[in-house]
Amino acid sequence: MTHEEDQLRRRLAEFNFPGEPVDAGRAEDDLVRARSAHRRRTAAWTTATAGIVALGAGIAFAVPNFDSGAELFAAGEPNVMDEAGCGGGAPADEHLGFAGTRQCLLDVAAKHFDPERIHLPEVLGSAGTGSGEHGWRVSSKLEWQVPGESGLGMIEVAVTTPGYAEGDYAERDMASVIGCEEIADCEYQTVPGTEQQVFVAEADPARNLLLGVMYQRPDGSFTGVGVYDLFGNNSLEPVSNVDITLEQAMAFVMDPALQVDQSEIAEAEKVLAEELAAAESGQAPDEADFSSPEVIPAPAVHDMTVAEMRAAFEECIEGADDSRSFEPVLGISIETDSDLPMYMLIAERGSTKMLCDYTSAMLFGTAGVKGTPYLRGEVSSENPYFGRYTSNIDRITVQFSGEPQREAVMKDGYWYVPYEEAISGTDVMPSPAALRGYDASGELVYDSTTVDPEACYANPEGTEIVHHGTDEDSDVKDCIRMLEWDF
Amino acid sequence: MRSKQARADEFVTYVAARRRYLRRTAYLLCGDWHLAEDVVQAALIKLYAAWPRIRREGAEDAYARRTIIRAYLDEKRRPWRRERFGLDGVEPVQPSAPSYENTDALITALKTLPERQRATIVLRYWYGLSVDETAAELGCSAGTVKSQTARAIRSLREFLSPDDVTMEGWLS
Repeated sequence: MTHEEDQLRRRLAEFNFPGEPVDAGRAEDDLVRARSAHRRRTAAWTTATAGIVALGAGIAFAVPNFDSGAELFAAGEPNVMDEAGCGGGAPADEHLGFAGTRQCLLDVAAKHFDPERIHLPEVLGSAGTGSGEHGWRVSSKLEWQVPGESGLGMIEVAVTTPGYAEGDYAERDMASVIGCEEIADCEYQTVPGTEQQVFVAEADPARNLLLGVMYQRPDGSFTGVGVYDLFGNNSLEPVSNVDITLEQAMAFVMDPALQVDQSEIAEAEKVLAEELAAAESGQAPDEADFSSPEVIPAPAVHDMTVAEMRAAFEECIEGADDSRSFEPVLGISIETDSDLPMYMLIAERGSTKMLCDYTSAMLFGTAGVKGTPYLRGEVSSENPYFGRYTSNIDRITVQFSGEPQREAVMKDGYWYVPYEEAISGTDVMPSPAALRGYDASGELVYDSTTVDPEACYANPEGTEIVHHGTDEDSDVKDCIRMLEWDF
Repeated sequence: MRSKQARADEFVTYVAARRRYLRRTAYLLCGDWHLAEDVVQAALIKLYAAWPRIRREGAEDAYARRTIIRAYLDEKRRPWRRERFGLDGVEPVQPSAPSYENTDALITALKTLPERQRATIVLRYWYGLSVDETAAELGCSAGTVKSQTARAIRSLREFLSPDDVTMEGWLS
């Protein structure tokens, strides 16, 4: 070691670490985080494993046959559901199906929480489905509306197949559904008037959780409900209250009518097995459809005036004063039939760039904002409807699966597709998308569907890996060289 | 078979003893305590997942070191991420006056280095790894480590003012 190196080593060893925050009790917090992440990962792993086992052995999951939900309960247990019960009837036509089970969840929830149907929707909520070593969990997130309010609350309801509790991670899995992030944070409570115990998560305003309850039946199945005053997926505004008491939640989870519809399990297993087989063969289970020849032309645009850019920028950064140091540099107004103001505005601070459109802002272009100055190809996307291109590109199209091609508007190295449904927040962005770039002669120069999605990328010089693909140990020589942005 | 509780106890014991050192490592890499905290948390999640194996092999420190280096480099490599105001936040404006993070000449100098060079310096002179060990850690050749080291030291020498050099008595 040279003298200089030795000095550096000593200097580092004696470094005083200015501004070092004080740590207190963090190891326990790390354990909570690590366990939570590990639980999610393991649940995903067991899902895959269970599917493979079922497929390989040609067997179905063993699910006891119940003629009557009431048989699950010992005498004296509350049974607030009438004889009709629920389940069946609805076609299992969605991904992994369970539409009938989700209908059951909605019906039983309405019976206990909203018999007059003021708050809960008439249509099924989003599906959450998981399978473990010992059966299936079906959950559903239901919107909760309060008349006269524009916000959205949410209740998440779930039921599993019998025997589900035998899985190593079953309890944690269900606890997370009711809002109990760590088992130790929640507690068992006795249901009044019975000897039964349910697991209760207390309110946590930081997560908009009002209460959560889950119940493990003697047959090893779970039921559960989590009550939130904000449906974070669908709204930014909470409701003033979700009028569900702990007693009502207890009655819900102990309702024997809550059952996973057995007739839906076989179909779900079949879908899961197909997905696993497709994943193993490297083929997407739901093949994207980019066959439509229809082209939606790029809308007309005009350059924004300085005043228009400034007004749009101010609207964009409202509430984020830290961003006032960005300077708007480019803006185009897009003429569409939409009632929304459609525009693409670029602001810069040094090498860091900001995209503003109607609802959001995005930083890109430098490592400091977890981006890169380089392009992955002649056309490169920062998100599904915006990106940059190199100067040899004359026309760009974006095509979402099953939809026509949409021509992007292009300006000074930036492209943008005004996809109103996504921008307005009324729809999620369809995925996947095909991104194509053509030169002035009309020749296809770049086609994202031909690029290996697992590829790694190197800097333009090919000396350093900028983005690892799926292989963390990839060699820089095997990576695609990114391109300089020549605008 | 080790129980879940035993695994938790071992993990907590290890983290309590080594967390400060790990975060200091991350700080040397990124020069920002908040980002260092993120990097350490990400690394510890991976450490916990692999705990039974690495504990059996007695490789806790080596694994933690590797995951921190990779978490740091991955953080820098992430291709893009959509940000919305009021949610994930926006890149903060750099204060005009020197902050805690850049009051020290050495950390300021380290922050000027490209990430691979910084990682090389931290592995070689903070961890004391050899050229070959550093190469294995970074997945590159020994020659690359040597050239990265030389470039980094040259940059540090150029960046640090004569006062720093004289006062601190190093890189002279």
